[in-house]
Amino acid sequence: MRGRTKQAFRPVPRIVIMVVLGISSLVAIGPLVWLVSTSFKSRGDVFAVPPELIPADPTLDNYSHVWTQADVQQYLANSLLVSVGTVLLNVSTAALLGFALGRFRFKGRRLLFLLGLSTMIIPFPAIMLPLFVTVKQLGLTDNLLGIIIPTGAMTLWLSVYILREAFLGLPDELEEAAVIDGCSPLRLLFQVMLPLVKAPLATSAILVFTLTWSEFLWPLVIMRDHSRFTISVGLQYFMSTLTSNWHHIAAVAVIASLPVVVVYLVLQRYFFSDVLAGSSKG
Amino acid sequence: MSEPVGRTAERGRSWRRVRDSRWGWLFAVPAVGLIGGFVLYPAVNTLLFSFTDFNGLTPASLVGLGQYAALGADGVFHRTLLNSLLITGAVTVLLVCLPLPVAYWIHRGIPLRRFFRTMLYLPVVVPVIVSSVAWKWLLDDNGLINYLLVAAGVTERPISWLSDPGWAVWSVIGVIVWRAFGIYLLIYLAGLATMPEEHFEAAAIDGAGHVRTFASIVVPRLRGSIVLSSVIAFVAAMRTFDEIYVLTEGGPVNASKNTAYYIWESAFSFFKFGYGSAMAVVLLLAVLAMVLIGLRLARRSS
Repeated sequence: MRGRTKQAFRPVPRIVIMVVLGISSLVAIGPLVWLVSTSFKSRGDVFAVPPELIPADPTLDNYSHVWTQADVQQYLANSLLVSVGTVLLNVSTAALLGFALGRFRFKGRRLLFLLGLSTMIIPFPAIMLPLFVTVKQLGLTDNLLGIIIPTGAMTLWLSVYILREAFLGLPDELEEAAVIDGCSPLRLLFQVMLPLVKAPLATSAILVFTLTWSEFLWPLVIMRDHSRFTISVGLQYFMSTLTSNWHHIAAVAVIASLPVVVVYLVLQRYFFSDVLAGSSKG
Repeated sequence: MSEPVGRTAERGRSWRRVRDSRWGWLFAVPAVGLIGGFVLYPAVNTLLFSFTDFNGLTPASLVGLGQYAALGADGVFHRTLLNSLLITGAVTVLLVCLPLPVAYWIHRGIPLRRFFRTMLYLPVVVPVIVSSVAWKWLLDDNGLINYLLVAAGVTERPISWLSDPGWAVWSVIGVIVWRAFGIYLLIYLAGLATMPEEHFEAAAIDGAGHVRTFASIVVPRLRGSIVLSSVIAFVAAMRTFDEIYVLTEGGPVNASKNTAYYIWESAFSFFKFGYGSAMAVVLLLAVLAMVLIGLRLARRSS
């Protein structure tokens, strides 16, 4: 039977499907490959006719230029701080609530869950203006915390959803043994249960990290000071000042993607883990 | 297991006492504070702002429904609403339908499936601004796509994908679909993973081909995933901003400007926070109404 599922398609349809998937994959990565290719070209080769996919004489000049000239290092450091900070805030808060929703039966928990779920369908631009006013009153514009806290809140329910499922899936005996042993709910969470949900924790951490790294509109709105730009806003700013220097723009764009692409290729199994499966059952 | 029955029962009861206690709320406090302060409170404030002439800086005065009346007379706002609906409609339909057969092929087992999956998901991981920049470069008048089209003889002169009023909004739609395809592929693969293998075996024994298996088993059984995809795609498309900002800046002359972009522009270019908030309320109501209608239709058809 196993052999049969592996050969689900007969040879001819199989080849047709593989060609379709091959072309789709090419379309998916083509624009990114072209960007990488451009980043290794010298100014004169950028508009060469015919275009060269692999530069005739590749150069690292663009990278050394943008690395030293533009504030790329500062932007990268800001993005890293913002993303790590958001992950810490988001995952720690979501783990507590996921534990509460998954293992406790307090009054109003269904209402709380539905209310939280409804935050996932609020389009960010619809709450952005008052949020800007609040963050400004708190003195957090031009401050990395001004990105971390609202982004942590906006993405909170993704992690709550994943972690609630994970806590729901743990066996009931754990608590009973722990409570008999005189273990408080806090120790139950930190010493018994958290180690058992490491994989879902990693999944939500990685998800929130990539989302925050990619965030653009909110940092654009609250950062005026160039030294506080994240790499996305920095790339945009860089492009608006150097409209046709595509070789330099491409180098900054590649630098901006490298951290998340590396995380993706190394930790791929967390991206395709089955925690998402539960979300589509209902 | 020679333990006395009474003791096991006591164990159960003592945990139940903790489980039903207020401990649960205690663990919920940080999350409730975060969501309340930075999502729900601003949402309520959006409604309040929309009844004022707030400029973002100085104290505002109430203008009642004045901002809404102004929206009713603003042709640009109508244009942005239509663009939002066009972008959202096209993006949702394409993103819900296109990944379905691909997920089926990958799930049923095709050589190199892991490789295809990795490649198709890659655009999701790359920052939105980076992929938008990549496409701006590709779609440039002197870009690769125009070069290839001219070289192949499809068109005589380069097409201005981003500055032609007819093409601009479709370029934005295309880039969004290209970028988000992997998310929906992932949702469908996760849904297929929960489907028992027997369904496929039974279909094969009945002599059902792939087209019939797909249409009469996979699609109906993935209904949950399809509804989820539709809601996610719809909400994400209604908030589209980054791609428009990089590719077209809403132009040419509002041709690709959506409501989300107009809210941002009104507030941060023209300091019309009250006016922008009124638009935000309309956007929020439109999304809520569509999601509720969608969920109801999905439930009725089941």
